[in-house]
Amino acid sequence: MAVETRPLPQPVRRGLGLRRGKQAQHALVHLILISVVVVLLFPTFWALSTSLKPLGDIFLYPPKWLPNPIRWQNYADAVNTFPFWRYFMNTFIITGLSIVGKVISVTLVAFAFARLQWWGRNTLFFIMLTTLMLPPHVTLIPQFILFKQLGWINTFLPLVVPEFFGGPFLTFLCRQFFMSIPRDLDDAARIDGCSSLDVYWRIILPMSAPIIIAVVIFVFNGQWNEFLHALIYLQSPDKFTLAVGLRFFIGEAGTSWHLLMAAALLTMLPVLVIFFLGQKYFIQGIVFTGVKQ
Amino acid sequence: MSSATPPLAAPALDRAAAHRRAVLWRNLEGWLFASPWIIGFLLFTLGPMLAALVLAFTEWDLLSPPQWVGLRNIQELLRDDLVIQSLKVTTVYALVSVPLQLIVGLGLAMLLNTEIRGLRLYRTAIYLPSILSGVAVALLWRWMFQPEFGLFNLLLSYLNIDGPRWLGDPRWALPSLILMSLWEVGQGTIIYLAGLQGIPTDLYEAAEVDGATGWARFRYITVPLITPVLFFQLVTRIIVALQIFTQPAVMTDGGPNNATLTILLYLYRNAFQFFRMGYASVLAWALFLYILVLTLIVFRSSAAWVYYEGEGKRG
Amino acid sequence: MSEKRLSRREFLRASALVAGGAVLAACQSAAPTTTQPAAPTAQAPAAKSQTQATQAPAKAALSGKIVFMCDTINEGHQKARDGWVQRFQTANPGVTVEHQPVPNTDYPTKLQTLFAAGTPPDVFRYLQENVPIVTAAAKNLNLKLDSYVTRDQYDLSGFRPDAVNLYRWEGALYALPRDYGNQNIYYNIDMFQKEGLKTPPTDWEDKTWTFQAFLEAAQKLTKKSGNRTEQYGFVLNRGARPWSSWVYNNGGALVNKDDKGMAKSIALTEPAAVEALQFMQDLIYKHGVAPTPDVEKESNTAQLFSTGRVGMIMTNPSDVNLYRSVTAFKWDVAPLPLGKATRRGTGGGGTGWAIAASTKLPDVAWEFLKSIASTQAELDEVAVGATTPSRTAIATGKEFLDPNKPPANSKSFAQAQEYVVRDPVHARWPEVLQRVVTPTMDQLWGNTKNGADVAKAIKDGADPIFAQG
Repeated sequence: MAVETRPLPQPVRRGLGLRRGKQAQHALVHLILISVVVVLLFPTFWALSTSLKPLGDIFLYPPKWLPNPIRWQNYADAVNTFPFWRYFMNTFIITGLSIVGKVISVTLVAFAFARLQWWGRNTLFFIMLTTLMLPPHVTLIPQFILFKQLGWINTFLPLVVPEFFGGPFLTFLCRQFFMSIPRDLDDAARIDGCSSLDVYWRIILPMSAPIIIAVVIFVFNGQWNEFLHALIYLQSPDKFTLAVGLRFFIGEAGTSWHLLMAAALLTMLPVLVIFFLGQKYFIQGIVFTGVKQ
Repeated sequence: MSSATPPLAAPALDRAAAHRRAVLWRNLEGWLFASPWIIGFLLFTLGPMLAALVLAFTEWDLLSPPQWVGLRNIQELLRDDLVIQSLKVTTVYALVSVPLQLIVGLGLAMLLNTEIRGLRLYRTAIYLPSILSGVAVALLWRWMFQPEFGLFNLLLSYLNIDGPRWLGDPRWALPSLILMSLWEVGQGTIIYLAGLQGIPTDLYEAAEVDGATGWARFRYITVPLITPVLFFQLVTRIIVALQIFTQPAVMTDGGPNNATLTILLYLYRNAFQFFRMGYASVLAWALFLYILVLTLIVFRSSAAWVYYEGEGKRG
Repeated sequence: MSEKRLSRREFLRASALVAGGAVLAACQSAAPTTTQPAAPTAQAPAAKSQTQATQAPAKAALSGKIVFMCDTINEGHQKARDGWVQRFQTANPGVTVEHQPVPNTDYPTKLQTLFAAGTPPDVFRYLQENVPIVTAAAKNLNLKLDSYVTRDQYDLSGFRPDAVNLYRWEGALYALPRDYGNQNIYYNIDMFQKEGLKTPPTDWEDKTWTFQAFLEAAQKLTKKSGNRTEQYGFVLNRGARPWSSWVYNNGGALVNKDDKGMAKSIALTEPAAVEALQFMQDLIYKHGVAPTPDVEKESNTAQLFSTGRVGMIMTNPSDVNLYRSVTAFKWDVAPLPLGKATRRGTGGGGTGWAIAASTKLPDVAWEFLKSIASTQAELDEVAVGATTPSRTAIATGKEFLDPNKPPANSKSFAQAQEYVVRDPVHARWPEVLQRVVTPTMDQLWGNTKNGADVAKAIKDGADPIFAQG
């Protein structure tokens, strides 16, 4: 399957008026997107601005929109007030293992639900969805006791091992995408003697690059920010994750806003980078599916 | 089916056996591929879920052994005013925020699926709020909503508008949370985008040759082909919206006057603050049933509107 | 009563069936175990040090590992606690103390999960607002300290007696005090001077600082431009301790108590209390000197005050650190205004240090408990600005009432401790507060009900819960 570049606009077919119409259309799209982005980024801008101010400037009213002087020191302080790099590594290990486990298990299970005919399929699929419907707070304690009996408390295992066993949200997402891939491809492959595993490996996975990238991004984002289980299962400070570390800036005797915001933005950065890099593959994905037939 | 027919010739018998083997293998294969989830479900999820079910019939203060109380928790649930209030709050939140998120998310994805410049930056900017989540953001929003010196009312005052008291006003508190939910529309947008880009471009080109207008292309190509994603979004958004917890817990503490008391917040209070895990479990199962019924309705209806190209049919 | 107590075997069978023994451990954990040095129970290997201690209470080498859990008070506090652990381990080489910090907002969830799972920390910060003393006693959560106090002739007189009494129930002691807070008026001196107002008095026995004097000051301090209030005289606080202080100072009470001191019914419907409630509502809607108190309790007040947009606030002494960095204006503290009460009162209370009753090393835990409730430890907490001390000598000492730093009248903090009215004591008080009191008070703040109606609604909602026990 060759990777093609996107078909270029064909000016031959279009008149000048159409092209001008296209330009106006693009300008409008830009205008809408820019205003949306401005609104959406406003809170982040405010977080950024707060993170660069001295504590005394934060609650001035009317506010200083831009930090002046800019206090980069806040970032150094934020990193130094808690073991940032240690928590970073912990979070990185948990997230990395989770991505591996999740991508493998979720695509396998979604393949079963989307492409194979088997007894009990729909019932099990629905049961899987129901596990999303029970709030975590009531299963928290039984689950804690379960992991305690396995001796997993204060290890990464309760956070990582379940990730190797699929998960309703992303399995559902993948299933939806796998179901949209034309079935004649499978049939052709099977006539050529391919097994289901071949179909999964040689047809479905290569055609699902965009959604797999999406899964990676969602798992990365989800696990990087996961809080409730990290709070309950990790006990000694050297095991904490960034999401837990962040909460320590909110104290009974006041919140260190500037440091909290600096730490929150630093924590966010890796996810942002992954997203920025990953989205490129969405575009490649179009071409894959676009030329498939 | 072969047993009902008269004795068969040997090759036919073989064929029937082979067919049975194939069917068996096909079923086995399905279970094998799904086994990661099935095993995980049995190991980590089923037990705690059943424990929560048993607890629903007990009074458990977390501190001494649970006591069996039969249906008493359920009877109490039916008489509890706060259950009705929290159900109302949660339903309104879901009813408004889910369609808003679906529509705004799709709209943004359509705009991002064009050939304009700066797409990568736009996409990243729109997804960014979904990354910066959690309690730090909830605190930041609370601060921006602050009526006396919050940024929102300051901006409104530039327009000579006397801003509301946002989270402090029972009429505005829930709308404020809904407004805030729109901020994280990026996650949905990305999923739509992945879906939109799965639509073969030749379909659009063919339609363009046939002279289809922009709206017609949207209505007859984009919408049908995006329905699997739309379906996914609808189901998961309903589930997530009905379980909203962090925002009311951090920003409003359920107030003022219970205007933002969501089911999960009420459940959490019962479990960890009122020491009534049994009653919390009943609340959890009530919410479970509520979500289940809504999901079933969506699933039932899906046959009529969700189109899977791979299946070549609806449903 | 139709409920029947599940027999242990029945429950074990049910839970083993459904949860792979998940719930089972919870039952085991909760089985009451009394660990008292006088009658040491025969316990597993860990009992060694315990037996030693009972045989030779004078000076036995302690050994073993204990877990110490505390939530975030502020950043400095966590470091101070690390210091305590170090110091204790150096003094007791056989002992390892594992310090487990927990974020402040999530502390109750984590602590209760650990208790439910049967693995509570050995030593922890005990918050009565989450687990009322009645519950801690009835459910045997906290180790009774009396026999240890007697054995070591531990001196409790250094603590303010009321602070110790917070942790006594039916004669037994369940924690040592950590802090003991109260409410004071913080005011902006510059604003008072600008309006030509006399600043409030300094002494809690002064009778001139009345509701009326307070209102007049607040009115002068309020500045409007058109519809907008540019500067408020005062900010009310949604927290129960701040608003109940107005009730106390008008001679009212939150609850009526039975002879054991347990809350039995709401007392807000008494005229004095209703009048105080109405006074607060009038500050917002009739006199326009205060904004509606916000859902964001502390930070709202703190931000308004430190940005010079309000003349007076009412808050805890441990908040001084928020304001010591203020350079734009001078400020000080004063007693609460006096209404019809004969003597002032302030909402207040504290948190304590406790040992889990199920600890395997009660002697080690007790030794550690003493070290973190010591004078030195309290001074460490003062140094990081995290506390209103519970030891009288420290609450009145120069470290806490630092004469070189504002407020000039810091002795008001120490004096206020004499006037603290204890929070209602009842197993279901946290529930009454959240389920009934707070939402109903929102109607007072929102002006949808007047003082009398709010009081009645609280009584109607809360009394049945008190009655259920």
